[in-house]
Amino acid sequence: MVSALAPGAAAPDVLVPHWLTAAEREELGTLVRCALEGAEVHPVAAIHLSDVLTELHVATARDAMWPGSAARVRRVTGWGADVLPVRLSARELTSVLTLPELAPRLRTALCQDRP
Amino acid sequence: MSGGLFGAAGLLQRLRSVPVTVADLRRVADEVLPPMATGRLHVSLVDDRVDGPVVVLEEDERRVRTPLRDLAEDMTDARVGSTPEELAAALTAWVLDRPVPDAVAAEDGVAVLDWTDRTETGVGWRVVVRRGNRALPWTPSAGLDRRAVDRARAAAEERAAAVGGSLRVEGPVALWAHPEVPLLASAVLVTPGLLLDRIAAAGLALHDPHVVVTPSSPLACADAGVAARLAGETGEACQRLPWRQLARLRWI
Repeated sequence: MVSALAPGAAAPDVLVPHWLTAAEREELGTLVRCALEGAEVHPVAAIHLSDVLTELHVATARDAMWPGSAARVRRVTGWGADVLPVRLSARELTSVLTLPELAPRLRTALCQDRP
Repeated sequence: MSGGLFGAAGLLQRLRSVPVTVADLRRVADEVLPPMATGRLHVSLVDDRVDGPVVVLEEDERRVRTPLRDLAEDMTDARVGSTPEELAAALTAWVLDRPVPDAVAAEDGVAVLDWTDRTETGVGWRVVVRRGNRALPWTPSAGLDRRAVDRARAAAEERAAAVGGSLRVEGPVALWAHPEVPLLASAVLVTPGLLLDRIAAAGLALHDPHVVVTPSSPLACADAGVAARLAGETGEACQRLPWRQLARLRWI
């Protein structure tokens, strides 16, 4: 099979889980909302940032419907009860990582796929 | 449909393996079973020459006859604990899980969505009867008249419309849950328009509503793209349906 993707690179529309604490999700939501309210965001980036906001809600809804999924991972890893997977595409993640106001700690959390 | 066998054992219990003995179960059964009898449900513990002590549940046309030694084996396999309290809870759960008679379904049945089969790839309507915090499925008895089945289903739909629930809006997703019996959450879908009205009144306007259904979980309602994101990124069995398809779901 021939792939246009570089080896190891995530497909653009594949959603990859980033395990974030409640405080990190709150921080991410505030950051994205502030960016969307500003005038400097490129329209395409704004679409991806809006999808990030949607995902933050969907992550909570997913856990309300199927609490066992994340609970199993938390049990194995020992992560806190407020840690949930936030599933972002490569484009959505990039739209966040390029925000200048992104705090280093949250950047680390988003890049290492674990809290 | 209502948790695991004997009321679902926890992880620690599943890791232990203490055999349940017939003698222990007999002592508990003598205490637990008599108060569970009602005017309709007859519960007896009889001694069979071959099978030993046997529990017999009789309710209208339904009859369950189970030797205690079989129950003890099943409880051991299900890793039920061996204390009197744990055995009493398991035995109570077993009685509550007994088959639903036709007359009870006709009087108390509620329509809900359930998996059409074990593959968990399709949902359809089913009549269930609430017993405590569980909902038991009704299977019409073999000789029941087709019109009686239809009447029971129609009445179950009417009752379903009156089943309450709680609405929570999480951004672009509306979650509808039943606070006590999770399987009853989907009863609200017998009147899907009323659910949409409630969602709108809560401030969420859906333009292309879809519902994500996993029986025994809260329902999620959202626009197509959000519903696809919700259902597509879970490893859990679920059905994502456009609103118009709700009217086409069949009885199981």
